[in-house]
Amino acid sequence: MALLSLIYDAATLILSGMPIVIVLMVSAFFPALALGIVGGLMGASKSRLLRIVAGIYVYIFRSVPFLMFIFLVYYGLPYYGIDIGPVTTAIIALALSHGAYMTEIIRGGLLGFDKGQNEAAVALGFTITQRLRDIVLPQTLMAIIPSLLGQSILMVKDTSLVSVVGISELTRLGREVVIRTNEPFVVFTIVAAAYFVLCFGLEMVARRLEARVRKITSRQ
Amino acid sequence: MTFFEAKDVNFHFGGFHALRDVSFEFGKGDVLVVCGPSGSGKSTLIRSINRLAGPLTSGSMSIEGRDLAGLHGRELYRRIGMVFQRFNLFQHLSVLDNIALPQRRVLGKSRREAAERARALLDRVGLADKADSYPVRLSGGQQQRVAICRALAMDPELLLFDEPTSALDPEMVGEVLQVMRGLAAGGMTMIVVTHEMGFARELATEILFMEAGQVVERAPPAAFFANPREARTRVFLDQILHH
Repeated sequence: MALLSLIYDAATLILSGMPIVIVLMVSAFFPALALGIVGGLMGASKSRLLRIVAGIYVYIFRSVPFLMFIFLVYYGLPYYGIDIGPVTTAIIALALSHGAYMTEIIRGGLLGFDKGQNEAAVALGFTITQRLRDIVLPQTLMAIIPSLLGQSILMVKDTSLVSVVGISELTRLGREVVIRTNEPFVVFTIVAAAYFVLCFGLEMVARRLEARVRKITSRQ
Repeated sequence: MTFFEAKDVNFHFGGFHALRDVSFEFGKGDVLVVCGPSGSGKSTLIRSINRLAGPLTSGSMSIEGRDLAGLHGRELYRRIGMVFQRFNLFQHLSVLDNIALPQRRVLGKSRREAAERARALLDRVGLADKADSYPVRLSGGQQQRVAICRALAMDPELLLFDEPTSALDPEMVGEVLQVMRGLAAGGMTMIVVTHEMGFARELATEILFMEAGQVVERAPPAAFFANPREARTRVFLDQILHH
C-alpha cells in the first residue's frame, strides 16, 4: 500500500514535467529542420565554399557532446552580457545540435534525388527556386520523414540533459523525488517509462508515415 | 523556309569532342529523325539545343534567325519542349498536376486555365480517366503520353524527343508512336532521336545519321533507306534492320 501511494505521488509529480519536454522538443524541432534544410542545400550544392561551410557546421556539432553545448550557451552567453533564460538556452542548444544531424539527413536526401525530374523541370523553364520549392524539396522531405521523426525521438531523449540548467523536466523532477523518497529504483523506473511512452508514440507515428510515404513514392 | 539552323556546331564534354562541325537545317512543321549507333552524339545534339548539355564550344543554333545562345533560359525553354527517354514525370504530383503546374509556374496561367488545358490534352492522348492517378500507378507507355502532354501544354514551337520509346516494353511502343504520329499530322515541328526505323520511314521529313559526333548522312527517308550514299550508313542500317 505504501509502495502504491509512493508510485502514485511520484508519478503525478514527475508527469508534471512532461509538457515541458514536449514544448522543448517541438519548439526546437522546427528551427532544427530549418537549419537542416539550409545546411542540406549548402552541403549538396555545386559551390565548394558552401559545402565546406556546411561540413564545418556538421563536424563541430557531431564531434562535441551535447552537454558541452548546453554549458557553453548557458554559462558562455551571459559572460558576454547576453542573458537568456534556461528554456531558451535549451531550445537553442537542441536546435543547433540536431540541425547538424538533420543537415546530414537532408543532404543525403537531396543527393539521392532523381536527376531526370530535375532536368525535366529545367527543360520546362522552372527557375531554381521553383525547382527546389515545387519539385525537389517536397519529394526529398517526404522521403526522409521517417528519419526526421527518428531525429525527433533523439531530441526527446536529449531533453533529459537540459535538467542541468535547472529546467524542471522529467529527469530533474525525478531526481528531486528521489532525494525526498530515497526510492531511486522505483522513481527512475517511472521516469524511464514516461520517456518510453513519449518516444514509442513518436516511433509509431514514424512507422505509419513511412508506410504512407512508401505507397506514394515507390517505383513499380 | 528555314525554321531551325545549326551551323558548324562543336561541343566538348570535358576533353571529349562530342559534336564535330555539325550543320543542318529544317523547316517549320518538319520531323527530323536523328539516328546512329550509341555514343554517336545524338542525345548530346538535342540536349545542346535546349542547353541541358551546357553551352556550345563553337558554332551556333538559331530558330527563325534568332541565335539560341542569346535567348534567356525561360524564353528558350518556353519555345523548345522536351520529352525524355525515362519520362521524368514528377512523382509527387498527380497526372493532372504534372501537366498543370508548369503552365502555372512558367506561363503564369491560372489554376483553372491550366487544369482545363491539361484535361483537354489528356483526352487527346486517351488518358482522361488517369488525371488523378500518380505516375507510379501508370504503365511506361501511359507515363510517356503524360510527359508528351506536359511538354505540349507549354505550346512549344519545337519539340525534342530523346529516345522516347527506348525505355518501353515492346507492347507499349505503339501507343506512344501513335501520339507522335498525331502531332506530326497536326504540323508540330519535331526532332526525334530514335531507333524506330518504321517511324522514321513513315513520318520523317529528313533523316540525320550520326557517327562519332559527326553528321554522316542526311537524306529524305525514301533515299536514306533505298540507297544510302555512305558505307557507314549501310552498315548501320544492315545491323538495325536485320537483327
